[in-house]
Amino acid sequence: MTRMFFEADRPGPAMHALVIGVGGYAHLPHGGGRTIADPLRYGNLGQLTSPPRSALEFANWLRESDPIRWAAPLASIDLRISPAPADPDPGGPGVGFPDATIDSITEAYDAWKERCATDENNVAVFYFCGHGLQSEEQLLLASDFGRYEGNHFRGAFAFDSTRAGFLQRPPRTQCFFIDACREVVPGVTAPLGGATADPLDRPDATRRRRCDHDLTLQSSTPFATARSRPKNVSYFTAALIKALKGGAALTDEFADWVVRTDRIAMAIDSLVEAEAGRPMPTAKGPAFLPTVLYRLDGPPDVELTLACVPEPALGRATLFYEPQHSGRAVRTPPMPEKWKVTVKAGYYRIGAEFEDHTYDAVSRTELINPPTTAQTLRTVGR
Amino acid sequence: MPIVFVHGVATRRDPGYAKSEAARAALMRGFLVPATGQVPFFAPYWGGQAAAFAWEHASLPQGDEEVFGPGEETPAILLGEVWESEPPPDDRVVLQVARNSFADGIDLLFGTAAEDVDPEEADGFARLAVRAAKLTRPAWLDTARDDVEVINRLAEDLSESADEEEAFGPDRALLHVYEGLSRIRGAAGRMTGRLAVKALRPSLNRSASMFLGDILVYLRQRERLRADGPIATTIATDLRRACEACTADDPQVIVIAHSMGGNIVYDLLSGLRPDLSCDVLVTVGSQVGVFAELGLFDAVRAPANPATDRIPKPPGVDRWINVFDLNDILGFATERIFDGVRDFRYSTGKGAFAAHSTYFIRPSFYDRLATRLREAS
Repeated sequence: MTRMFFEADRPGPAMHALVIGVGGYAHLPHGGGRTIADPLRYGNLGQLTSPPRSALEFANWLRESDPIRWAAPLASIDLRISPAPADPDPGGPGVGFPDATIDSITEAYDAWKERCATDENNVAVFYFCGHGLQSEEQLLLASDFGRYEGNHFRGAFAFDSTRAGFLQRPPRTQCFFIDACREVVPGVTAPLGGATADPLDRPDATRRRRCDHDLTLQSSTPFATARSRPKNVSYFTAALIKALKGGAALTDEFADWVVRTDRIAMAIDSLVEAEAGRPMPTAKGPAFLPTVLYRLDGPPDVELTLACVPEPALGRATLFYEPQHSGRAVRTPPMPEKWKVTVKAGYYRIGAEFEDHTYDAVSRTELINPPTTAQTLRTVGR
Repeated sequence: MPIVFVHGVATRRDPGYAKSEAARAALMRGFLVPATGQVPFFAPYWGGQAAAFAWEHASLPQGDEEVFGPGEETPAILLGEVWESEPPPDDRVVLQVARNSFADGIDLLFGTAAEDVDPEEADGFARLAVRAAKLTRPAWLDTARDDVEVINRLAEDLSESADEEEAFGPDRALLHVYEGLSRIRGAAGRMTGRLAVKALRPSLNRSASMFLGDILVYLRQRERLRADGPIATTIATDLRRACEACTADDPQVIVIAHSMGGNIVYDLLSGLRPDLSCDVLVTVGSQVGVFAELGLFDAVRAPANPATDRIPKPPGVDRWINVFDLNDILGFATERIFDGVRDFRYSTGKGAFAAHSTYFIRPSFYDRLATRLREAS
């Protein structure tokens, strides 16, 4: 029995997570094992330092988040990590994790599926970060990809079928986060009929759909690449955590700040772009009905950008923002650039004043929502 | 260091134009500006104002069949240049070429791959090509069994630790090299039993007609409209824009002109538009010398004593380098006609007819050009 990364006894509905980070690939170049013949057919897939750290960051954040703020309190995290030889201790010296071979992943998946099925109001969270390729569906590579020379993909699993199969299983709320590439390579197209891998689960024509609230995010669109800075948390994973922390929050009917599945899907691209410094579109799953995943204990941070037009006015304006009904305005002296500031989400009076009276003062009230809000004030010259 | 590239004859906006232009620009930036790779780049397109064939090339001799599949013509040309006998077995083409000359092997692989690189991937591909051109002949070449082993060993030698980003999937630039190998195989297979030049006959006939056509159209425009001719205007506009893009930190303009492009740039700088200038002019596979001998430039007068009389380089040109391949029947020397120019010979090997079109797809050419430019400055 593999030791869980986190386990708590929760009566009633609970959240169960399976988190996988594959950075070390024994049979790819520099992986330490027998290297497959002609690795270039897969585009020279290398050892990865980011996925183990990304998986660990995600698992740590789940574990350290307030359990009562989830739609169902966190009850288990099963973490499987294969570190890259160049970064053997992503969790620190002496901290090891169960390997992410295909057998280990399959065993973990089956056990996680059972935990998830204990209550239909549980929340299921599946996270994978590592190499991926695109065939008829996305193929996710376990750490022993290439172990069997006759079929390298015995060390991989088919994601789309797995996802479709799990839709027919409890619980009602399911989240799948896949941080991997979806490129087509000669090694996938060359086998007659295309490369295939077994799924961890299969859809069954006789079963009905059990999932009502789905959030499936893939960090890359078909035929595209997912990336990270080496030895860092990946762009997608960092963005995902920010979304859950409040970057994708909005207020509910009680004016409480909540993170809903549909809002995460809406916010994730801009959050990834903020991490990567360039657009890196993600793929979103079937969605179904939105639901609240996480409740915040207060308004989240928002990056507010304030500016005014016409352009010459910006260098003369004293820009300000003021939380509604607070009477405490925060001002910036005239400067030629837009004003970027982090504020708590909510209603604000924003405006521009001109000490030299070259333009008319202007202000208005706006709802400042996460993750970022840009507001431009129109001013009129005197 | 704004760079202006002026293409030669027979360049048209066909479906492959955007890809080849992007790859060429990226390779030029990658080799010539290795530190940043980011400089203003201008590539005036004048093919649209050049020769049009009213009967859509009905004047070409009939009877030749298309021999090569899609994307196989470039590897056939490259292979034809360096391999004069029967092509090697199709699973050992790159291996045999590289054993004869490692630089030729790199040129064959990367020149073929460059054709299929999307513009947005061109910079990454160029970075890989720059690293490949710097490799010295590896010892494993003597024991490698086939092309698949060659490119896998090469990929290993070219792998570098990801400093900035790692991808959770394939290396796109290496994938293009891998995919190019199948086109090299295809081209070599179809060349079996015939000489490369025979196999390429339809393509060479077409190129020759375009070559003649573009020259004649330019000369006619020049006769009628002088500097206001459409081709002259297109190129002059980008030469001016390049000068305007100079900054105090980056004051040099480099103009690289291929074939007829070199003749036109010389014509502009020496006579039609003396207000334009550049710091370095590189003419590649050009006919400036022949045009001068034929008296086709305003600035060139026939010498009283051909043994000693020389024409000064255009006043707006600080340095002038002329590069030609000894195997390029359309590339000519200049040193014995002009003052202030240096001829450099670049040899592709054994080919005879196709070298003219392959300068700018060869990493080895850019590598040597970068060396010459450093020497010149």
